[in-house]
Amino acid sequence: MRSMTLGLLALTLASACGRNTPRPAARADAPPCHCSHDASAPMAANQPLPDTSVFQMGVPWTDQSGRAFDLASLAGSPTVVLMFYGTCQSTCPLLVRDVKRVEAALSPAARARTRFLLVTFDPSTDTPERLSALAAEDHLDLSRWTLLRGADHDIRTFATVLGVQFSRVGPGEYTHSNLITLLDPQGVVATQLEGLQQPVEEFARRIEGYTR
Amino acid sequence: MIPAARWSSTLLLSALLASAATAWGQRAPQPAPDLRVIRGGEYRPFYRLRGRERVTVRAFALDARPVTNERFLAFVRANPAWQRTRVRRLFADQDYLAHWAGDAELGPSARPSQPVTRVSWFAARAFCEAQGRRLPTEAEWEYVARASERSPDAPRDPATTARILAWYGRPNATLEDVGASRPNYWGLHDLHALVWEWVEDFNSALVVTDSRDNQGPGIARFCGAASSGAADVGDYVAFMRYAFRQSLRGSYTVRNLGFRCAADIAPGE
Repeated sequence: MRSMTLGLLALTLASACGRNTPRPAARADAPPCHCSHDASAPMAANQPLPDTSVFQMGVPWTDQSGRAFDLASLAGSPTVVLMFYGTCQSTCPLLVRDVKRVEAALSPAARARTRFLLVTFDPSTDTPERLSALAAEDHLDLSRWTLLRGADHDIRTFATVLGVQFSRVGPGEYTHSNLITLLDPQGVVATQLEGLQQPVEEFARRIEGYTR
Repeated sequence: MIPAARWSSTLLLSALLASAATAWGQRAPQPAPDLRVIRGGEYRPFYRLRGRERVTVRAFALDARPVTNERFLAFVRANPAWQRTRVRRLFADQDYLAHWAGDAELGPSARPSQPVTRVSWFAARAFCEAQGRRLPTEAEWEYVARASERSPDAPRDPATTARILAWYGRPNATLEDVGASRPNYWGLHDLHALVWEWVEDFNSALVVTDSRDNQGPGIARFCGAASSGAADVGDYVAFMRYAFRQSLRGSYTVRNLGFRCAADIAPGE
């Protein structure tokens, strides 16, 4: 079966063997949602971010203009995040297209209040100039879209927080999860799209809720 | 904290170089009491990517033993943000250090010389960075894990395999103290059969699907044209390690998952 992954095998086996094999996968790993009761309320400016907010990571990022970018500046906006790399020939263009499908599915008002983040795995190739060029090629509206690069160490941290798996398999070549993440206006993981060309209605519905 | 860490890293490097220079090329040189220098080399990993069947590892240094409760206690005392009641949920789940008596107290369920467990990847990484070190990469860890007591590359050594398989099947009552087992070829204790260990890239992508072959739900979870599924299926114990790591998230804590730290050494050493 071509779609079988080692991870799948892993889970099966891990749960089948002795007690010395820890089984963290059995633990509920659905990200806690702190947003249910006030999902549609706009966030107050100085409200402290929840403990599980990705916005409070304090990692230095640089955007496509070469300017420092603080994730905390996203507080108050639902944010769609994709990790990718610019020279990717296979799925990354499709994934970017999927994020654009989310953007297109939104009402104009919701679209204007939503942010779209592309974070590269490959900061040595994806310089600010290269990220700028990618944004232009893909006609990304930079009032909503931001392309980020950071140190390798911080990219691993960010991927780990989002649950993105990736490996560098050679110069300019990576394998990685196809995973698009929706962060609620406080930066807590709300839901994720796994795979390519998945339905975007759930993302759109939630974003409309946050921005109503 | 970062400048201090960098500074201590430089110190560490000098110490390593000074002592490694004479011992280089010999078996298990000992640069610092708690570190072992590992010669670079290459190996055929359990899991192979097409066109990259051999993995090259550069020389590095690795803690001889897993980090103990005692050392981790000193770390959380100096870095209160990593204490049990203060840590951010983003970085450690609710069972983080749950067997300790308190924020800065081990208590009866955590002996000082036992390996620290129930620590998240983020916490393990922060500990290593505070010492001017880092977590080993998966490739580095798997490279040294292939050693038997006498050979650097004996992944199917019957004695080691038997010990690991026995461990897999044993109910884990209490953890032994670190350093109780015999060291392997590199002078490393407890790589097997005490605790599982975090590595920097535990969440590397190991894929056997062509991700563009999108035929339905559950397919195309990964991008990676270079991936393939060739594996050394006979190396069951390595398979279990890869499988376990793939099941983790960075905030998870597990009662028999600990870690040790690595350090860079200069090329040519």
